Amino acid sequence: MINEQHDSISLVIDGRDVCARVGETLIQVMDRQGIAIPRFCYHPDLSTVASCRMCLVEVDMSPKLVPSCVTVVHEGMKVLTKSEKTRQSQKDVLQLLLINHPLDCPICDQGGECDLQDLTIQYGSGSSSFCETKTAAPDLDLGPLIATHMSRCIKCSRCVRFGTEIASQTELGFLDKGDSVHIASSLKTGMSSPLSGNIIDLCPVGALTSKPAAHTGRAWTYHAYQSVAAHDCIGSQIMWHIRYPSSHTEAPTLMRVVPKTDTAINHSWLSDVDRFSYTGYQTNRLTKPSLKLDGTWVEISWEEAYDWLEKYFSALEDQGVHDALALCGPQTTMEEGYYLQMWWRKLGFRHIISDARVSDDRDQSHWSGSAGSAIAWDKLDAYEYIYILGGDILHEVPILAIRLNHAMKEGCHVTCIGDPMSALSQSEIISLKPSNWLHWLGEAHEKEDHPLHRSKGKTLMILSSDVWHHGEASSIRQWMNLWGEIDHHDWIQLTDGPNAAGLQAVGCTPLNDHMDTLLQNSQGHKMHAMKDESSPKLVWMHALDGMQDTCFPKKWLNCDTTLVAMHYYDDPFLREHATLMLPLAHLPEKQGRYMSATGNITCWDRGLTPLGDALDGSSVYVRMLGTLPNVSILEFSDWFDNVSLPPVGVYQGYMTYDTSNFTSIPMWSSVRADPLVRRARELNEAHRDQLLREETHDVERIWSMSECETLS
Amino acid sequence: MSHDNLVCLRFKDDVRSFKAYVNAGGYKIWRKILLESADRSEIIDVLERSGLRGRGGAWFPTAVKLKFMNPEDEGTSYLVINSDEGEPGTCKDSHILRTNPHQLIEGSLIASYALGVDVIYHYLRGEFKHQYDLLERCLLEVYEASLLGDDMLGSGRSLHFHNVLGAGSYIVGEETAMLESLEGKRALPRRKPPFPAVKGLYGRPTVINNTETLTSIPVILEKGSDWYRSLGEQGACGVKVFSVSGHVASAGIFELPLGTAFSVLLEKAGGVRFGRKLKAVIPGGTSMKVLPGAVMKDAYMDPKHIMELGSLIGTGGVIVLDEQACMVRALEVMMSFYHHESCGQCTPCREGSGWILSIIRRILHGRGKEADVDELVNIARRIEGRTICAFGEAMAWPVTSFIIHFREEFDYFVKTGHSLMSSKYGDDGFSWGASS
Repeated sequence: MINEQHDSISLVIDGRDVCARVGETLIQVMDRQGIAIPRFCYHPDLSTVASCRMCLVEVDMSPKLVPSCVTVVHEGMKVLTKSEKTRQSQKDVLQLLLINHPLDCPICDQGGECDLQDLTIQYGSGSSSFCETKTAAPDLDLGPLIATHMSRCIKCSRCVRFGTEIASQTELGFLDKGDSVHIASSLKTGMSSPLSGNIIDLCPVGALTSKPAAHTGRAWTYHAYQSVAAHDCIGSQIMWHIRYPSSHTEAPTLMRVVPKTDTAINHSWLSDVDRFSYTGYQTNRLTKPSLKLDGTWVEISWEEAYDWLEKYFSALEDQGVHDALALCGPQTTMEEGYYLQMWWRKLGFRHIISDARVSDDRDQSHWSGSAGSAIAWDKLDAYEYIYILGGDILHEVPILAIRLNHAMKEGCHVTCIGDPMSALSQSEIISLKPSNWLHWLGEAHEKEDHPLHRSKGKTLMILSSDVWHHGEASSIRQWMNLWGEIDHHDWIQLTDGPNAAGLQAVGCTPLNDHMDTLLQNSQGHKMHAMKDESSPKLVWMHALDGMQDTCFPKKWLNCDTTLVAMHYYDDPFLREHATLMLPLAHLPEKQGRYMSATGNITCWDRGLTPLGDALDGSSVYVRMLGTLPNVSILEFSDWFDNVSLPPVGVYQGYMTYDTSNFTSIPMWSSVRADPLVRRARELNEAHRDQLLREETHDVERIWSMSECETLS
Repeated sequence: MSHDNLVCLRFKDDVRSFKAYVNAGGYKIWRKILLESADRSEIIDVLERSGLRGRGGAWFPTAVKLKFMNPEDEGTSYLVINSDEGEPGTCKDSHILRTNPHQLIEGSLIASYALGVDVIYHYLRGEFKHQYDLLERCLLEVYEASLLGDDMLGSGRSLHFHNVLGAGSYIVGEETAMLESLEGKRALPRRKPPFPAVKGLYGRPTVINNTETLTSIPVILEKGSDWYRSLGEQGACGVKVFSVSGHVASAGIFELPLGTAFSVLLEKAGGVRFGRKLKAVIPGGTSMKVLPGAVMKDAYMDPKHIMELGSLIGTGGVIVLDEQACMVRALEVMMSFYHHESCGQCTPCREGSGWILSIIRRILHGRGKEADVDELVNIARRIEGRTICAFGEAMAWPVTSFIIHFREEFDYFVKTGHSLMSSKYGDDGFSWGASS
């Protein structure tokens, strides 16, 4: 907003008096004022090159037309966006763009959302005076995610600028000159950036389109559903593009995922994992409840499944079993988590764990929701120093990498501590084994030259998901908390999955004062304590791919443990070990809520009909709650609307931890272990290095890895 | 009195070695400036009074350009010498570099002193390998004589000079493209503002000057601004190195007063070849508009006068076309050059250059259409004034001026499928044997 008089200048656009800030460009002013001005190379989040010449406008005091994307406004400026001269220029430039552009709109995936097509309708002429041969360019191989049709390229250089300026990974550039100028990928190896898909959105024409979505649909037939990305804790805002078929007998289909602009979170960017994981939604789905009878799987109805469950649980009660364990996957919604834990607590079971890969959760009762200070992703450039403990930020939380790259450009000193191979490019690096992390932190106040000792500037410490899995995670967070309070610094814990904070908040944890009081229940065991226990009688798994998503020993399943799985997929591991498999509605097939690591809650609506007999987990748990005697169910919405969740950024209480006996549990990054990502074929092909698909479900191997360091 | 070869080409003897140049009176001015710590503004004043303008083709007043630099700015600033002489028909800088390298170095040092810059980059066209080697040898000598480097002549001042060889591109002669190239990037012209004097090489204030301009400076300071002014004729200031090529008997490089009659220049080049009549002249490199011979016959080579006639004197690369030259063919030759050299950044130039060339080629192949000639003018007008750099004009002007002045040749070619010249003379004027 224009607050101060001396900061605002007035100019006249098409006879209209307009206010602008000093230093603004014409196009910024016109965009804010809703004055349409055609453009191709200009993008608000990229540097300006003024090369497409589409936004030329007539201004007084300049004999030549000026590009509005780079022309800075000045007091009293008179701009004509609809004058004969401006219009003629727009028509002429458009004609020149079109002469070598193929007329293949009917088979072009960009059709309907193509800037060139739109502007041709507005400014183009119906006939062409061009009768020469059009130039053509060979297509590029950019891997399995991005389809290229380089003859359609209008050389706006947005994709090139995205690589250098936003992703900080220059993989595309121009070769040659004149009308032979063309985009080329360095080393011809395609794109390895985990943010590569953004160039599809940036391309104003059909030169770069989505390969998984190629030739499947038309943009104008899609309905957009607002949702949230499900693969990291950032909470990127997305749109599901869903197509409803004309026939009533067919089910609607999820056609693609695109970012929804949210300047506070993901801006207009989206990671490849969030963008392309949708291809795994339909792969090998579980469509009917299935029961293993004498070693063979039998498809049953939901009624039969409920009956079986009722009988099974009353039998457990008769036997006085209380060591049943519920595990929910990282993509469990807040609603599902709420009802699951309520049901589990009402059944009298102690153990419910929302992140089965956490090894040290001793401080779990000290925070609810997100752990760390209240920070905002778009305010990272306010810090003078940012430290990242462990992790591979670029591949695990690519959107955060964009923010950090931006902060670095703004002069912030970013330092990655941990494995130098996975540090952010251009950041400073401190090579440190995970086993030394706590010790290193402990030295901060003793050593003068310790990086964390310099308390001169505002500092943020980002604890990566490596810390989340770390054997001394509680002690590290405890240390961070003290450091933050004493030196007035901020810290934040990044978590696995999109909803770890949300599941903490709804009580999917063994200890939850709020829920335990609410449900008058005894407290369960924390994760770290459970590992030494004998195998539980029942393991209930919600949205988890067998044991590969957990750090529990396989030996549990060789005993007389019953495994009941509610899952999206017909997973081979579950087929081998489970007794009952219940089909779970996938994310677009149900309504839900996620809470990001910064405490931002996003709610989405159901966009698709569940596949087969799949059901929303909430409805199943509500139904099971209904079978219990004397239960009045507090609806999630009633609870959610009235509950005062502990404020984000409050890490309550202190406690001294014994730091011995804990070793890191090396796990795959949360992205690699994500059940949906594992099934997105194109994504796995494209990012094979990062998303090594694990075919074996050998938990013993993972378990034995806990004895050694992964990062050396 | 003859005013030939008084400034840039003033030496008759070989002055390529440091010793020879010093013996001929070289580096006198630079020594004086250094030892006396001359007043910077005085140097600029002399240049201003001399009326010296940029000889690279734009004719921007040199003193004004030098004054753009903020003398208060404390960081590093640069002087860039533009020896990327790529304009077709121009070979004057190449000649100066070959024959008088030390005067260029001295002029650059004086200009740097006046500007207060710390580093000089001398950007040579990729093809100027010989000149580059020569300049490198010269630099060694100047460094050795302590006229360049740290603590020059014990004055406490330091100045450094680097020669940079280009990679072979026409557009890199555009000053901002040259800065990009120096920074190691593709030679794409930058948009202005910011102007190089504010944000140039590596984001620092930079002045870019043509070789001929800088080479003139030592002489102007030695002999005074009044002397230099008085060299010009017809009210013009100073001298200019003209390179005359095309259909003349003996093409060559001549330093003549500005305002010299075109007929004198033509005479020096031996007149039109084979005693033919003058048909047309491109007065300043192919980017400038062509003028009919009838107009040029009585013209004098003064920037203002040529502008009044409807063209520009540009780099002083005068291209003469005789009466038998086919203008369609001539335009095709020029347009293949511009099509090849467009950097590809701006839409109008990138797409338009290819379009124009393919239409002209179609006409030359006898497949022209009636509307083609008008279309050529239209396309050129669509490019003109709508690009980041002046390449748009450089490409559009020849097209429009060729068609305006020699339209009947284009129309004839379109109609008949062959050249008017070949039907008149049995040759399209591009062979070097006398046809009659």
